[in-house]
Amino acid sequence: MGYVIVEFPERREVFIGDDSQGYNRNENDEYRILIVGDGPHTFRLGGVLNYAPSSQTVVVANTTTINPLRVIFKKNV
Amino acid sequence: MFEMRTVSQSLGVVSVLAILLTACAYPVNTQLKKYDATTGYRLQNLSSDENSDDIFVILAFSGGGTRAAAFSFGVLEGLRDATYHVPSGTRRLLDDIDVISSVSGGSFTAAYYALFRDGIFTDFPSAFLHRNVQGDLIRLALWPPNWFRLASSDFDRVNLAAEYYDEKIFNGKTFGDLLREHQKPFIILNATDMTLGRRFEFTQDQFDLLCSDLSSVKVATSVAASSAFPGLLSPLTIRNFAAEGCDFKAPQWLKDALDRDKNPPRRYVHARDLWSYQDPDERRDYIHLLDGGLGDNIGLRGPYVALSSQDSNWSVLSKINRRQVHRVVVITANAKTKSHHEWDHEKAAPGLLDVLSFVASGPMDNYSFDTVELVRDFFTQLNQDAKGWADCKNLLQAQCPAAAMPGVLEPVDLHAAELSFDAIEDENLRRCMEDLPTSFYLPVATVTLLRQVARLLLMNSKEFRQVMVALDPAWQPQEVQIDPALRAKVCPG
Repeated sequence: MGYVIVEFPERREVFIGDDSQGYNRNENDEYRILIVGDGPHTFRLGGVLNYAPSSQTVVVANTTTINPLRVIFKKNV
Repeated sequence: MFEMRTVSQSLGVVSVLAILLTACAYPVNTQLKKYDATTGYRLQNLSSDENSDDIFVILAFSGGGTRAAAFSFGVLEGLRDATYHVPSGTRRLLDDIDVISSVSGGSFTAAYYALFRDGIFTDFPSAFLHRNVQGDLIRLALWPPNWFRLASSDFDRVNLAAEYYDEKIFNGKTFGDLLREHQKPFIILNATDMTLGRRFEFTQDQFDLLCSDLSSVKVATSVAASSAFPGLLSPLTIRNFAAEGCDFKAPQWLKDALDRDKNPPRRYVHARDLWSYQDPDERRDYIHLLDGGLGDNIGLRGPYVALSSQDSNWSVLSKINRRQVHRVVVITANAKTKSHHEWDHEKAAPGLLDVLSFVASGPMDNYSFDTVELVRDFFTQLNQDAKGWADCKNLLQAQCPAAAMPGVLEPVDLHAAELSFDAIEDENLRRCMEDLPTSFYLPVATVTLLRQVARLLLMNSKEFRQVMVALDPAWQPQEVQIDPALRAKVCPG
């Protein structure tokens, strides 16, 4: 079991595969720590496709709540 | 001449009868024309109108013949009576059940409840628990016209049992009927795939891999497969239509999990086994299913995957991440027995029957224990991680108020209760329950005592009490009494 933060400048819905994981940020605009099973997972964001990469497969392993894996999406300019 | 003609006519009648009867064999499952991840018997397609979204309740019913069916039925009776107050009135914990995963004897109770809801409390004892199912099945197998049917290659003892269950217990209902009921709980009836030695569940998610439509499958057939104990019943054979295709699209998690080098071994093996149904190199045209107890005798393995990963169509982790679920409750009704042997007092080695009995149940009991511990350990780990995060946050705020934690971890309330005869305090009653046979016939008094014991164990369970108090701080456990006369009758001495 692992812990992941999905970084993006806006509050966006996060998908692992086809399954929504809720939003990357809470109502106070703080990053939410998502609980994710260990191993490779394919992440993407919901909403407008104004980010890159469009999806990314990352391996979740050796994470903690204090040191979660950061999955970073950049906003297209 | 007359006698010759009579014999000849009789043979003719028998031949026609045999042909007709063997022709009665029906296909267990049909082909799915086109894969659609949004339709079929899946949790997401069942309503949550009456079911609380906030709390996610999973029940697991073990195998153990009528003993397990009666024990799990007693747990349902206890949950029916476990009411708590909410602003709109009173709720039963029974109505909060989201998923029941079951094996063998427990599958009768799970399926009956899913099909007939509260009707189970009036009808199930006469429909199944008080019935001599074992005797009926033997009589059916010995009835001469069935010999011809049993001689057919596509009709075996398990099909005969399925027909009997269909007529006497499940009223011809199919998974399509369950889907049309459109109500939780979602039931997962588990059998064991003989080739893989792993659990095979009767859900559309599993049947998608076979390009088969679960809606047409009789509930009775799945229960027969789930309880097809080797030797007593033959394996159930179902068709795998994957080679004929249905435009199946593997879910992304399955593709990700098939990378052997990057995955934890348990995740990879789970994915590899599932993919074997679709893999053209494997050519698994027929799948042979045996008692679910051979792969997982408490039905917890499927829920464990959903609890601990995103690798399930009803991932509880995803629901927690979506904030759909804030409290998770897992209640396992484990009707395992414990043999009380004299081996250790004797020099002579145990006999063949003792050895076979041990081989049939010993390893599976250990595996079941490990599965319960897996769920408990997972909850413990989540709680410890959450505590670590909260402690760190408090320390950071005290020492360095300007600093911020990397993210926010939202709390989840987790409870796992295992109900088993181990927890009976009275030694004589415990030994009596642990000595009950695994059979599809038990006397009515034994069934009634098992129901009472299940309710007693539920009400006395520390974890169950914690759940109820968390839901309703004013909740008080009911006092459950074991009828002394009943006990004296079933457990003399």
